[in-house]
Amino acid sequence: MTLSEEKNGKVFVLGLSGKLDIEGGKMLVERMTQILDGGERYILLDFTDIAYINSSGLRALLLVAKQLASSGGMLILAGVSEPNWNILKISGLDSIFTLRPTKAEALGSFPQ
Amino acid sequence: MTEQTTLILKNDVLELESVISFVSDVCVRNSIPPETERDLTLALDEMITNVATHAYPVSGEHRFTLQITVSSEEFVARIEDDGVEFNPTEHPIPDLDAPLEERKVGGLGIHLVRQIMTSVAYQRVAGKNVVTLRKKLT
Repeated sequence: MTLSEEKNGKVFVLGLSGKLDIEGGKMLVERMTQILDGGERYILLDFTDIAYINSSGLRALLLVAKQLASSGGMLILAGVSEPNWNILKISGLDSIFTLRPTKAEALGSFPQ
Repeated sequence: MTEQTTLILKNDVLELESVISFVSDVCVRNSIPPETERDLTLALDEMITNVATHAYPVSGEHRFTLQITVSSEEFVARIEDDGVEFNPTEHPIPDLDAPLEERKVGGLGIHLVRQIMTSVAYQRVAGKNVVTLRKKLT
């Protein structure tokens, strides 16, 4: 997996590309820990280029959500493909995450 | 026509790459659609990662087998290991309705496999775990 980053107003956008698996999951949790330690609170994870998620990836997403909840932040996932959405749904994560179809819609969902 | 292949794998998650590329070839040869290939890849990823990381707590190299049988009706994967006894069909179902703060971060792999495959069966035979995953193709 590779990560790309940009700041859009108050929102920190982390773009994920490739496989969210054991390695991708570790990379996500490590980078998110640094980002939250740096004081960011509004996080958008862009899933548009994620081709594959397994349970290690789901574990990482849950860890990130817990980290963010305990620091009082807000997390939105954007661009989750239908197959990936199905994996989130059968794992019961659809009730935990806020999803938006596109990055633009996700950006518009954070408080101004 | 039925196609059957047996792969001998080491207890190393790096083996996954060869399994995934093998499954991809099998799916192309048998005209299995991409959405089914995705499910098969995920199920094998979860099961093989489980064996490679949990079945052999004693360090060192161990071998286990993955036998794949494909007919026009069904994809069958039989995983046989002589590691720690583990019955995935008795693995507790995670609480999928718990709020975030009470949600356990692990334990979703076996749940996913049981959801995406048509059936998961387990036998303990002569000191070995034998797990059979089936996916209907028609």
